[in-house]
Amino acid sequence: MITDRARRLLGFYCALACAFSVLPVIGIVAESFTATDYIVFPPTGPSLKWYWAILDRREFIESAGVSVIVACGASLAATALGTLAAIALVRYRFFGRRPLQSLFLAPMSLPGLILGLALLQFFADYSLPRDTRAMMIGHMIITMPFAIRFVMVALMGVNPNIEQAARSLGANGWTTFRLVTLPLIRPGIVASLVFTFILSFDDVAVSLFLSSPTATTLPVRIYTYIDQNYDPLVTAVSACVVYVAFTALLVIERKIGVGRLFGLSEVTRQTK
Amino acid sequence: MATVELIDVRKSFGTVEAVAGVSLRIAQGEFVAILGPSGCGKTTTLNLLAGFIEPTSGEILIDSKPMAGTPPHRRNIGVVFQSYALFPHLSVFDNVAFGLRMRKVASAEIATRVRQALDIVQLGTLEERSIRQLSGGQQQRVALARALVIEPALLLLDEPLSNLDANLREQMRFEIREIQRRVGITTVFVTHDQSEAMAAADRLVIMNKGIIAQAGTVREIYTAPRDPFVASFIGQANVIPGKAVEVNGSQVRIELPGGDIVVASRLPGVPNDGSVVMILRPEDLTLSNEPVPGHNALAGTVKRVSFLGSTVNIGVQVADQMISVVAHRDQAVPEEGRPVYVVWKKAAEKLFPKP
Amino acid sequence: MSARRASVPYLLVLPATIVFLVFFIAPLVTLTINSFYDYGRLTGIVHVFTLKNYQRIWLDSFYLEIVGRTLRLASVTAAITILVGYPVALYLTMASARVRGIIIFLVLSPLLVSVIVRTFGWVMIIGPNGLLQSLLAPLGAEGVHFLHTEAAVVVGLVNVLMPFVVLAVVTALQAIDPAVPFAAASLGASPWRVFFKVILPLSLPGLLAGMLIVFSLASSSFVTPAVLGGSQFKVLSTIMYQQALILQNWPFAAAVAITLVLIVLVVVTLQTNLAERGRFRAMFQ
Repeated sequence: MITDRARRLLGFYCALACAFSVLPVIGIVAESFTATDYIVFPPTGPSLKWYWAILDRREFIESAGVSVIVACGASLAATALGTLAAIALVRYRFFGRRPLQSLFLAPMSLPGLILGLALLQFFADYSLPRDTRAMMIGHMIITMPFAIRFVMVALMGVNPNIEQAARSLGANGWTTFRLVTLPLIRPGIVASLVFTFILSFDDVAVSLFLSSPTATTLPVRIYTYIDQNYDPLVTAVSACVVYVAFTALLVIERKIGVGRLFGLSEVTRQTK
Repeated sequence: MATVELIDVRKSFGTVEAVAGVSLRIAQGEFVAILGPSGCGKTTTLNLLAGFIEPTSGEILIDSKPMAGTPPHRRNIGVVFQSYALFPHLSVFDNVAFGLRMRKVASAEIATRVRQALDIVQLGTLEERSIRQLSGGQQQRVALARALVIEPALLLLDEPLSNLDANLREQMRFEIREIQRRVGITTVFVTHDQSEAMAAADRLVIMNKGIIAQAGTVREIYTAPRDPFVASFIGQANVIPGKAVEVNGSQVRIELPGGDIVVASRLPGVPNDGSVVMILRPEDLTLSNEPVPGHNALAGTVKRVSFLGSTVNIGVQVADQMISVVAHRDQAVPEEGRPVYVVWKKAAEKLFPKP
Repeated sequence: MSARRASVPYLLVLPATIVFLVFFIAPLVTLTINSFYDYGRLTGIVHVFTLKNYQRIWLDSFYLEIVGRTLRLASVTAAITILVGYPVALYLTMASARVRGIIIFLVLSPLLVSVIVRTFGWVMIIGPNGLLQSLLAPLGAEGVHFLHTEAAVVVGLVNVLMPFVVLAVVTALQAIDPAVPFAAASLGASPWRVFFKVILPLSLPGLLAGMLIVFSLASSSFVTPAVLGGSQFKVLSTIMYQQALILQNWPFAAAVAITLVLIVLVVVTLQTNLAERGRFRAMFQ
């Protein structure tokens, strides 16, 4: 119904918008291969010298380690607790189900900055140290809503009759979960693990407040660095962050697809 | 092979009473079909027998053992679901073997019994297939094999044929019956399709609004329905309202649209005075130009004639009601618009008080 | 139901519930309480109830200006992001499956890259020796300093937040029965009319949801204003950071945080109320 010309214009605009969307990321990756000693666009090169330079900077390597450890911990914890909660929320009807679900999804509506500040003051009030464990907790809170959502969606895709069938054949609750439910929701759990990992790895808001000299995550380290410096080293570090994200993307794309990750069911073609 | 007994079983969901006092006894090896319109409580009853839900009150006994508090995985039942509920991530073999593995049967024995079960349902060659590659009919047979291989005390089937196409459905209902007879297992079959129920079952249980409207053999229910609901639910029925007026001690006149009939008084359950409902089965009716001795008659006009293959369905307008008459395809059929009498042998009608 | 079976759901949610109560609810409560305390360089946090912090925010012209700037930034960003993102969502409903996949990938995948990296990428583009300068140099406009302006922050925020608008609008557009635009056309509506009178109104809930998400995220954004706006460009989140981590004035930082939450809450409530009472209220029921 839309005219061909209008449609082509819209498509062209869309292409521009897509380019706009990925421009900064492409820019960073491109710049990381520059041979120059300072940031200039377009970059010269290509050269790997800035990647090698990272190895000399212990603080970046340490922070990368901190980020990975925190992300692994937060991701596992959020997915484990989230899976248990999702099962209860989807398969059972119990008093307080709705309010509890709202509680678990609430961190999505709260800016991370505010939770970071709140945790900072909370930990200090109870003399708890600001270390990787504190950050794991903070990251677990902000990622759990996503974990719960992923697993809930996966569970709702499994016909409850199947679990009843397993029970009627002699499997108790735990065996049914282990042999029947778990294999069927595996894509959802993997999506949860990967997504919560990357969310935690990328986080700036909460980490900003919970970082300390002994434990600083990579994004925070990058931020403090560019506050003072402006050289291609940090573009190489940033490019590494992009590579991590890209790997996660590939895994997600293979398991459930990027669109579905964000809640888009099969986008159906509507107008011709 | 167990007996099953339900004693005044009730189940409420909030304020809704899905099952409102069901009592039933099922003998060993019996094939019982629970039949009724949607919402009548039949599936809830099945779920109660399986143990997926617990009754609000009343008792359920399997093999004379009370089942209260016993979860499904300890009841020794086999269930076939409407959606088959096969395990999509397991092969045909592993699906059927599942129950045996739960019972810790030895591998060699599992293999033998699984093959036997697949043979019974005629799927012998498809062991290693993945579920997703099977057709609807094949999936249904796997579901049946899975439930049978564990030799349960009770087999429960929840509308197992609803998702199949018409031809397959007809074929399967007889096959299920065959298998059940061979294996001799006590079976409860839930459906909304009366011909399915009638073809397969030893006994029918008609449910309506959470209670049993009538239970009995197919023939009993068909020829002696207890109320207008059962009469119209099983088989075809013309439902005609009327008024009973006592003539003398031994006779009652029923005033009907299109004519009066006289019946013996004091029929069980039928008032001698007051509103009644008369049920006439279309196949008990014939058309005639004049009233026939020994028969009751109503006057009307032929409105439509439909040739249905083996039978002809004739619609006759009697007063302000359309009455269906079924005739064999070779019988002479009057053309539309002709005045005619609808006649039936005396006492073939069924009378009930107006509900 | 036996007691054991009935307790299963509670046991399943217990770990998550405890974690949330202790590390989500409790800290937020502490934060709110702290916002009413006083602070002095020498005395530390003084546990006396006072409205001083909030008064400072709303009565001191310095902070009031910052509140205004935050609101302005968030609103402008929301408006522009909608304009930029809506057509993308629209095209998604018309494109072939392959093109759709590509667009979804290109638009949504940056969400998995940390915001600091994406923002820093913009510095690379609009900063000194950046892409913009090398493009404008032949035109002789070398002295243009786009970095460290409010406009730069808006561009950065629009870039970061566009995916959210696309998601929200696509969801709403997909909910429209595909037969409806055909029905409108059959009744005589030209393609433009079909869009403005039928499709746009029907997608309003998604549009509004997208705007709210962007507003909320933009008003609490820290990294993008800090990096693209420079140290002189202060918004509420900047103040929160400085007060908490540099000046150690936690009560005031808490008050700023609570203010931010309240602002977003008020805007969301206003929007929802307007939506439920406005011309298109049928859309939201």
